[in-house]
Formats: sequence, C-alpha cells, structure tokens
Amino acid sequence: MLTSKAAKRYAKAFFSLAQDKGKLDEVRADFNALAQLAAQSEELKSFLSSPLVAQDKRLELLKSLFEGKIGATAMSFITFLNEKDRTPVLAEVCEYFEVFCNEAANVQLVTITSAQELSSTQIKAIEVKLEAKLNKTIKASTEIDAALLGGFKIAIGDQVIDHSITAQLNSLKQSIVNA
Amino acid sequence: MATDIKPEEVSAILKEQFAAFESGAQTYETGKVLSVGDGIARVYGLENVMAGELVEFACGLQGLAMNLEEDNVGVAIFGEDKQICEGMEVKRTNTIASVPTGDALLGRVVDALGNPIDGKGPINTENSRPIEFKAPGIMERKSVHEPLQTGVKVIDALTPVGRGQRELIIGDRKTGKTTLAVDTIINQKGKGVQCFYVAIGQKRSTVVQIAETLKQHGALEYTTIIAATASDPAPMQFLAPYSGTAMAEHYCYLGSPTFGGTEGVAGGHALIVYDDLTKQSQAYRQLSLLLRRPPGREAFPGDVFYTHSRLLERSVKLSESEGAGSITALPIIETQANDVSAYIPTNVISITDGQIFLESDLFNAGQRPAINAGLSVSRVGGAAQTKSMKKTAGTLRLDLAQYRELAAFSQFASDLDPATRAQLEKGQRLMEVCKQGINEPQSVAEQVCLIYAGTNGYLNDIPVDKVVSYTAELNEALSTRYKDFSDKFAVEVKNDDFSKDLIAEMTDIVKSTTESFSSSL
Repeated sequence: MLTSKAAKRYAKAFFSLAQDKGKLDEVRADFNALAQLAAQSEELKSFLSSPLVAQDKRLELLKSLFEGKIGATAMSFITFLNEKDRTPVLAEVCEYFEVFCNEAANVQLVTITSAQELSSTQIKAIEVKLEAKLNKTIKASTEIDAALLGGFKIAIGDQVIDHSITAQLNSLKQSIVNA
Repeated sequence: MATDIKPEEVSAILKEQFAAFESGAQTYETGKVLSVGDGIARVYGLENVMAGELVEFACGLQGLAMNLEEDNVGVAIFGEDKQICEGMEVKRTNTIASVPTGDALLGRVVDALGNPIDGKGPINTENSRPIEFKAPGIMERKSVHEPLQTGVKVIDALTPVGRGQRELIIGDRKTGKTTLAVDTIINQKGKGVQCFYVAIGQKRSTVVQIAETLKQHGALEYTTIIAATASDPAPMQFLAPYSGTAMAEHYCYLGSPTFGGTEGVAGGHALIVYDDLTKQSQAYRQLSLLLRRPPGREAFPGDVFYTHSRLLERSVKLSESEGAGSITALPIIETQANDVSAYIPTNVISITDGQIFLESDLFNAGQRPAINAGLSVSRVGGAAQTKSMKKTAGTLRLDLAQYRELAAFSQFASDLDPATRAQLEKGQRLMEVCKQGINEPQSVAEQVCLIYAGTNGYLNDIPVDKVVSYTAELNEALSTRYKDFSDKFAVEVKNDDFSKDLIAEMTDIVKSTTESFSSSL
C-alpha cells in the first residue's frame, strides 16, 4: 500500500527528471531492484528509517552498498533523498516510480487470483479480453487461493471482477436468506 | 403438524430459488483497512466512494464513509471494531445509507439502520428511503394551521402545537420530558397520526418500559420505536434521528408529486420524538473528534448546528398541491442545572418553533407536568389552536403571570387587601387546574371545560387541595352524564367552531358540577 504523500512527490520529480534525461529504463530497473531488496531485507529497512544514524554516516553506508551496482542517475536520487532526510520513504518512492512508469506507458497491472494454477493460454485469454475492455496494455501477475474453490478473481487496482465459485455461493446464500 | 411438511415441497421451493438465481461475475470496488480503532477505520483505496455511502467489511460489518481524504477514507463502523483487522478488504455497496419504510414498521422496534431488534421477525416491505434527505423548499410548504392535540392541558392551552411544527421539550434530568412526549403519542390514537419515537443513548430497560407503556394504551400499533441505546456504537446514535425522520417522511410525502408521492392522494401525518438530541450531539462529537475534525466550543465540531438544523428542517407542513402531509417534531434536550444558555440548548432553541420548559423546582413542588408557563412559548402554534381553546385560555397566561408576581411579592406582606387576596386564591386554583397525571391525555372538551371553570371563577369556593378531585369528577361527568355534550363538542372542534349555544351549555354543566361537588364536601 502506498500512503506517503512525500514519496509520491519525490517519485514524480525523479520520474520527470529521468524522462528528460532519457534514462527512464535504466532508473526504473535500478529502482525495481531497490524496492525488491527493501522488501526482502528487514535490516535495510530499519537502517533507512532509523533516525539514530547520522546523515553523513548514512551516505557513506549507502555509497558502499550501492555505488557501482546501480546507475549514476539512481545513485544521485538516493543521495538527494538522504540529504533531505527522506530515506525512510525510499522503498515507497521506488514503488511510486514504477506506478508512474506504468501510467506513462499505458500499462495496467492486474492480479489474477485462482483456485488452481491457470495455464498460460488461459492467462493470455484473460489478458486479451481485459486489454480490449480497458484499452491498456495488461501486465498480469497470478496468485493461487484455494479458498475460491473454482473460477477466478481479477483485481484491477481497486476494481475487482469476481468470478469465483465462493462469491457465487455467497450470493446464492444471500438470495435464499433474504427471500 | 410436523407431518404436514413434505420433503418434495422443500426441494421444489429450493429448486425455484435456484432457477431464479443468476450467476455471473460480480464487479465491485475495494479498499484495504489501514488502521482501526475507537469505532473508526481508515481505509486505503475505495477511490470512487461517495460521502455518506455504506461500505461493507469482509467480516460482514457495515460502515459509513464519512471523511474522504486525499489518501484515505474515514469510515465509521456500525458494530464492534474488534472484528476488523489491518489489511481487511472493504467493499463499496454503491448505496447511500437507507432504511425500510412503510406500514410494516408500525408497532416495531428497530435499530438505526431499520433492522428489527424486537424479535418479531423480519420487516417485509419494499419501500425504502435514504437516511439523509433534503428538506422541502419554500413553495412546497404551507404555514402551520391544523392543531396537533398533545392531550396535556397546559401545552394545548398555553403553548399549542400544530401539525408540522417543531416544539422543543427542554429541562433537567427527571423533570418529565419523556413522559410529555409519550403522552402526546398516546393522545394520537385514532387521529390518523403515525408516531415515531427515536431513543438515543438511553438505557435498553427504559426503551422496553416505553414500549410497554405504549402497548398498554394501545398506542404501539401506530408507533415505531427507533432505538440506538447507550451500548450501540456512536455512529448508530448519530444516525438514529435521521433514519426515524426518513420513516416519517414516507407518510408525509404519500401525496407529494415533488417528493415521489402520487398526485391527488392525501398526504399522511407523522409525529416524531427525538429523545434526546443532547445525546445525539455527544455521539457526533465523539465521532468527529475520532475522525480528527477540529473541535470548537465545548469540543463540539463546527457543523453541530447544521446536524440539528438540517434534521429539524425536515419537519414540514406541505401545501395542498403536495398532498398536505405533515411531520411534527418534538425534539428533547436535557439541560444541566437549568442552564439553557449552554451550546446545544441555545442552538436547538433557535432552530425550533418554540419550547416547553420544564423545571425541577416545580416538579419537586408537586406541580406536574412541571411546565414553566412563563418561559415556555409556541411561536407558530397560535394559528393552529382550536377556536374553543383560544377563547377560553386567552386570559390563562396573563392570570398565571400575575399570580407568579403576586406570590413572590406576598411572601413579604402579612395582610393583603381583598382584591389581591382574591387574585392569589384564583392563581392557586389555576395552578391546580394545570396539574395532570401521567399517561392521562385529555380531550379538548375536558380541557376547555376545566380551564373555563378556572378562569371564570367557578372554582373559587372549592378548597385548593380539592381542585384535583374536582377535575376528576368533571371529567367523569363529561364522559357519562354529559356524553352528548362531549360528542357535540368534538364535532365543533372538528369544524373549528365554538358556538354560543355550546358555551351556554358548558356554563350550565360547569355550574351544576361545581354545585354538586361543593355540596358533597
């Protein structure tokens, strides 16, 4: 969940700057890697958000961690965030960056949840339908949830299209109870 | 009995249900709970949610979207927030909160969302109305002109209430505010007025008692009780008056083409009691503070005036072209130590069309109902008073005012001149005339005869402590020996008439009753 207003502002600024410099793809890859790292490493997260670490010490550590591994543009963004004492929202900035990239490329992320694993042709079929419906390029990720019993559930941002057996059983139950 | 149920029938019914059931994809909009506590959930997502929309939590609880902020939605939860956890899915329902309405609700006890809580089974009605509804405009209205008899002598004589009026009942705790309202409901029997009693923040046992009282007097069959008791969550206590008004509007707007009624149909009449709005504003204060809205005077939010003004503006007398329906409101406000200049009391006094002021000193002195005749007013009810009452009670207010002045003065003087003493004696008797038992509403005939006797000096020879038993005898006589007169009186009241013959007959009855009563002493 993305809740920080500051992260959104920084991400927007970084995004337009990267776009102007023509380094969008490079920064995007770097930021994605960073977001993944932050999601996996509790240590990194607590280090970034700890107010006990002094700014210059943090810069040193950040440099030793990332210098050379990520592009110069991304590194300069991180240095800037550190200067403004906004490293706690670094992970969110990275995520927002991805959101802006997708928006610019007219890409819609969707999550398809199903009871059983879907074949690639099935996923493709859903994607094609959604693309026609939303007029956007669809990037689907899949999840398995046995509680659905059968069918599938598509989450497009806040919108949910529920075609699962559980949902239908629930509405059948409702219609019998209310009858 | 049990053998009558056949398994085939069960199967057939279920089959019917299945056949009618259409399965298909459901689309809905969701959000996720960010944080929850004190009956408020902050929800991320729900991008297109409307202000005041009902939302549903994954655990089945419902909530009301109250604060729409840039990055989250503040939701007031209708129930125990313990069942809700961080990350729980929240669904939009696409409906503004609404309640069931119609005849199926009469005689029922429901909660603030219209769910039955009296164990008498589900409410079968197809009608529903939104909880929040814009009050009728100027063109749809008509000024108050028909009386709504409360059955309480002092009110009907001094602060008359008309259909469509908003008359505030204000006073300290234990001064008989609820009793006045319940008496008014009881007095509506057979008068074609549907009654709604909204209990806010009261004890459940009190609500049960009121339901029992209404039942005993045969008043529950035309009354709906909307109960948001002290144990209910604050959002329910805040919403209860609005849902009650929505239920009352069903009857009022029956004949109103502007508000979804049928043209040419006569609109119905409704009476709604809000008991009490002090508790409602406290519930709203809690809600607002928890939603982090800035506090103002007495920590109430800035829009606490608007919560009451928009509620009471919905009480209305509709014009003839709109079916002439009406909603009369009796809001109740509890004061602390007779302080009417506190925030909420002054607010509601300024919104309503008058107030009935109850005092604990009078109550403890045995003057019940403990109405302070000097401070109580009805700004519009005069136009709705019956002709007979207007003529008879015209001098009552003045007499009582003079008596109060003299009574205060006479405490210092030992010997008084005969004129002053006579006035004091008359005043004492008039104060006795104003007394009335609980749950004993009186007809217009009974009220007028007694006040006529009091103001015209027919009680002067009766000892002050016997006036109450004289009242009982006069009422008895009117319902037995002089039944014809009472019936004639009722007809004249209906035609808003007060003929000379009737006055003459009334004088005879009062005279003879006084004579027979005096001789029996």
